[in-house]
Amino acid sequence: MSQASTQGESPLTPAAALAVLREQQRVVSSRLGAYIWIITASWGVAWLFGFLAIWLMDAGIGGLVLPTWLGWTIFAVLFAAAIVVSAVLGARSGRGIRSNSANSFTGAVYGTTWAASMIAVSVLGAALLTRGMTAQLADLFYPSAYTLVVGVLYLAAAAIWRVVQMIVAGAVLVALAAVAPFFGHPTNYLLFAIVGGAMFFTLAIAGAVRIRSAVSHG
Amino acid sequence: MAELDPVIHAQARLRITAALATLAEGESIAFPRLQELLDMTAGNLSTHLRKLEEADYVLVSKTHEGRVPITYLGLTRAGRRAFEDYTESLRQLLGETA
Repeated sequence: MSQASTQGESPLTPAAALAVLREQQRVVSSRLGAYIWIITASWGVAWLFGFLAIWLMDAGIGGLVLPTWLGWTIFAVLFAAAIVVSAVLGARSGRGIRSNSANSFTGAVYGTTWAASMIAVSVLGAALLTRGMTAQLADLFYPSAYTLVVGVLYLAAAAIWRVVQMIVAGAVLVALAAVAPFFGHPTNYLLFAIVGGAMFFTLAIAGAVRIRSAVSHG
Repeated sequence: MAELDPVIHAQARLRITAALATLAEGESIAFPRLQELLDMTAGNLSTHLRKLEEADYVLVSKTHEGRVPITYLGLTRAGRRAFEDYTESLRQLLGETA
């Protein structure tokens, strides 16, 4: 945009004004959300390759069976990396933006709910193990229980911050968590890898395309 | 039909108000970040922000982060309502139904 056009004194027709208004809001939203697709893609990598690694520990393809320690290490490293990417890029997106106390309260409650529910799932799993849950059942219980909680939290985020993509992500994860145990172990892990990975990558690509078009118009 | 609000109906102030309206209600943004998002010079941005502040559309709050003084800007309730009314007036003028 030229310097002259930003002086603010040139007469605007209503059509031009509405175009300026919409363009400005689109540019700001896409710049503020410029990193979201990278964050989403990092979760796609974690789900696809993390769960694939666990599946390979038990299923194996063509004689390739991953040692247990390696499978869990890949899983842990990829999920930890996605958490770090989300935290760092999330902070960069929000740089210079200050929330009010009501929004801070919502954020704090939501964040704490994540931590509390994750701990609750692990305690529930431990309780079931002490009451005789077998290792085979645990392989069905843990991924589904965690994924169910994540899906519900995504849906809560969609409701609080009105993000349509989160409805898609939440609904897919809730359905995946509910259905996966029917396929038995270790196929359930393959399902988490493929469905979870594909969902995050689809949202990441859609987000990247949106940013690209906003930048090329902006 | 309502007249278009002259405080908002000027390209620079329209851009500033539209940008601030994308933030959630009650959120505010640091001056340098807003300047970066709008691609405006600091002088130009300050001039138009002053007019928006005089109309009570923008709340300017100065604070410190460590030793660095920092200015945050956000729409007031009146500013957000004025922007919504302005957008609605434009739509009506252009025959877009609400």
